[in-house]
Parts: sequence; C-alpha cells; structure tokens
Amino acid sequence: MPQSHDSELVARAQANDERAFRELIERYHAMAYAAVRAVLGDRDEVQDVMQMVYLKAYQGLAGFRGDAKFSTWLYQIARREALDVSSKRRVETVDVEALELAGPAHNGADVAAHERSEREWVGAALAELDEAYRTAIELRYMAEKSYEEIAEVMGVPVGTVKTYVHRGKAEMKRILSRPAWRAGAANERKS
Amino acid sequence: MNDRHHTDCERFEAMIAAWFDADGLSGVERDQLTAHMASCASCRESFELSTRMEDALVSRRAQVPAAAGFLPDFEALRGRQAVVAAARSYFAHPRLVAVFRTMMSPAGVAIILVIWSALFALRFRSTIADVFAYVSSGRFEALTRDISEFLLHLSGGDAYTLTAIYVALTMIVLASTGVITLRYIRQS
Repeated sequence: MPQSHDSELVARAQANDERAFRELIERYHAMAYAAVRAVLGDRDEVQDVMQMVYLKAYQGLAGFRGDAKFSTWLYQIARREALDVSSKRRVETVDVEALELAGPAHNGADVAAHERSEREWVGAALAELDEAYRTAIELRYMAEKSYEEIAEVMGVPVGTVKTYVHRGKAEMKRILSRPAWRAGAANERKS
Repeated sequence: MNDRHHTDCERFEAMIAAWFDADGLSGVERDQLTAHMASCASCRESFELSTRMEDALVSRRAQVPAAAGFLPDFEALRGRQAVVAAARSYFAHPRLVAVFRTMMSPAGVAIILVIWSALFALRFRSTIADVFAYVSSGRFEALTRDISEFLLHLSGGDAYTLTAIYVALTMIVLASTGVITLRYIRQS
C-alpha cells in the first residue's frame, strides 16, 4: 500500500507538483541521509551532497519509469553522489588508534574521555567498518528501516542484511572494547 | 573449569548480541543470561558495553537534519526549466524541423551548393551563367581553393579570425546535423 502511495506521489511530482515531491523526499530523507553518511561519515561535504541528491532527483524525476521503487531510486542517487565526492576528494578517516594513543597513553585514562560525545564514540567505530556493514547499520538505526526495506534498496537478500548488521555490530563492539574506550566509558559513568 | 567457563561466556556473548536483535531472546534464554551475568563480571561488562553502543546507535536517528534545508530552490529551477523548454520548443518547431530535413536531403544539399555557388559568383564572377560554366568545367578543386581564399579574404588575413570562421562553420554544420539526427531518432 505504501508503494501505491509512492506511485501516486511520483506521478503528481512528475506533473510539477512540488508538494508531492516534498512529501516523497520527507518520506525517504532519513534513508538518503543515512546512505550519504555511510559513505562520507560526518564530513562537511554531506550537506552539499544532500542538496545535490535532491536537485538530481528533482531533475531526473521525469525519467523515472517506476521499474524500481522510488526509495531504491533515491538511495542509488544518494549513494552515487556520495561515492562521487568520496572518490574526488580523499575522505579523512577517523583514526581510532590515534585517539586511543592521545588519551591514556600520554595523558592518563581519563583525558579526553569526557569530551568524546556518544556520537563521536560510536561514529569512530562505525568509520572502521566495511562500507556494506556501515551502510546496513546506518540504514537500520539512523533511518530506522526494516531489514526488508534495507534489502530492497541495497539489492541484497534480507538474510545478508541481517548478517551485515550482526557482524558490523560485533566488529564495533570489538573496536569499542579496546582499553582506551573502555576507560572512557568508565569515566563517563563516574561523571 | 576455566575452559568450561570460557565456552559458556562465548555462548552468552552470542545471547547478548541476540538480546538487542529484532528477533530477540526467548524468556528462558533471558533468564539464563541474567543468571549468568550475576556471577560473571566479564559478561556483565560486555552487556553494559552492548547496551551503551545500542543506545548510541539508536540516538543517531536524532542526528538527521530536516529535509527542508536540502531541497532545491523550486522557483529558480522553474525559471531555468522555462528557458530550456522554450529552446526545446523552438528546435522542435515542425517548420524548422522540415527545413533541417530538407537541408539534409540530397536535393537540399544540391540547393545549398547552388546557393553557395551563386553567392560565390556574386562575389567573384559577373553572372550565374559563369558559375554554371565554372562548375561544369570540372574545376571543383579550384572552387574549394577559391572558397578558402574567400574565407581568407573575409578574415582580413588574420589567422585567429580565419580559425574562428572555420570553427564557426564547422559548429553550424555539426549542430545542424546533431539536431536533425536527434529529431529523427526521437520520431522514429
């Protein structure tokens, strides 16, 4: 039923109904944003890429034939744009090892731990994952998509998505189990 | 004993992961895990880490900014689209397409050659008859050379201007051919 609703909105948007386009974007914005973040991480380029994604979606909507779902189509635009920017400009990776060294090794276990927000904490671990794992986790949590929806847009079986999420989280936990992170967690609990 | 404990912890580690999955754990499994954690500091710590990680992941939803900030400027786009649509409608005008088609037909090419010859004659020869005599004499090579000389004359002997004239003529021919080809493809 949501699909038929999408089709109706797409048809209206193709007839230059801006409100319909806005509604479509609102519906899948979190997914597109998560797809871009999965490639670019927490970079400044994310804002520009998101604007480009919606501009291209708007300009390309006339050519959308409905062979795939709108969500899949938009996801592919978002991913393509993010990869394009990523390949043009080498994205700095968050070096968790360096963060660890900057913490306990030089300044004691509590240094910088309280400055690391939860966002940085989990974001740094995400940045170390394989892109497929990161994408599946971002779509699952940031975009709050079901395994079935993620499988649809990523073009893989549902079981594969579950494996991506499961293995990705196990890997994140392994990363966050490193001594510096554990010390940071302990300090945050105290504070 | 330690090995046994280690094996148990591996099993409970898998249960900790399942605790946070959509499929979850059964009530019995939850009880088993809770009982184990009461006596195992390692698994308790692992569970706390998983809980904290899960909370941090769930909180990522709040990091998604509003879509409105990324939407295109529809008004500006409408203006641009109007210009493009006008240009398209201009090139798609049936009469213009008919003219292009005629130009690209053998008869059209012949007519263009005659017109060029006529213009050439007006510049270098006194009458049209001279042109026909000139063409029928089989001296096309001379004709092309004369055209080159004519273009050189037009350019005033400046190499840059001459190049610009050649480029402009080439672009006109290419653009016309491209437009006509596209029209044929779209209509076929």
